[in-house]
Amino acid sequence: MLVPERFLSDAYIESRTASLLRRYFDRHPRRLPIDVERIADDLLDLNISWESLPRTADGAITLGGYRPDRHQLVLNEFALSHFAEFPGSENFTKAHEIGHAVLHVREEPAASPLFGDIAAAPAIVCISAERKPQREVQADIFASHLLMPGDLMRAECARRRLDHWPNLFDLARDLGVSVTALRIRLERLGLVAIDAEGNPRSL
Amino acid sequence: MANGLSAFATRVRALRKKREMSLRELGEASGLDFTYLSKIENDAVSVPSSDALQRLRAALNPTTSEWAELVKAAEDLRERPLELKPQASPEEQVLLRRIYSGAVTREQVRRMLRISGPASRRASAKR
Repeated sequence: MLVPERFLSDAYIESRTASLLRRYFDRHPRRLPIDVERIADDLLDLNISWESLPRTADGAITLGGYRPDRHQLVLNEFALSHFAEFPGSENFTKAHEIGHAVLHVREEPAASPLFGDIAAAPAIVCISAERKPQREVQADIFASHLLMPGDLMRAECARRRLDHWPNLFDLARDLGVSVTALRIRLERLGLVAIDAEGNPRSL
Repeated sequence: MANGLSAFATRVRALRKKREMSLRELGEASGLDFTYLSKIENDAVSVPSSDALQRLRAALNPTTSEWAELVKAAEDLRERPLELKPQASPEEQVLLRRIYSGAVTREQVRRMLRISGPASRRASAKR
């Protein structure tokens, strides 16, 4: 069943990703990039379902969703061109939906499902809304921690010069994330700052 | 059925995981689209075509007993009532099943579309 919306600290969310990554690294080499589909498929036993999902009420494209009653991580096949156009967005969507599965759903077999029809629950399905509900923000933070674990990111950044945008784009491509997600993560980790002219600077 | 999924869906997924393949990797190995494979694993395909079954066999390399179980599970799907449209008549169900199993040629589908076209236009014009 759906856990009531509540405050989750960044540290708590990171502890949940760390726990998942420990299990992942038991089976896979401890290095980047993180294969989130393996995490969904092997560790959480989620069924990955590519479906034709409708647009949201405000016309935005729906990228994916999570159906707890069927253990399904749902991805929109209409968004394949979006995923191709914006490298990293597919990985981030998968990691975001895993975040819902880990943070927002309590396993209770007899309980009613989170939603029966994916179109009926755009709040938890859609990750493209401008002003995101709390759960969506938490799932984004979860995805960021999962795809870019702090310790591995520090080690990776120590080997690279991140004073130029092309280098950040290269790193984003290698990690399978968008450059926007990477920039936010690097700033939060205190590894990169963006100066007044919009140029990255290694810290 | 485990988790409400058919034995066929469950077996395909189990074989894929046993081979440590992702949906995309199985798609590349079999020549089947990975979105179609996800539909097979989530019971969104009523009956796989014999061509799809053979492609899965080549890519997943099942043992003799695994293959026999997979074929049996696929055959069992044919006995399952279609749930695409609750009000579908038995004739419509037979037709849909034939289309999904690949038993209807493209030319036959084109002819059916030609036959159904004018009626659809009349129906939409009424609204």
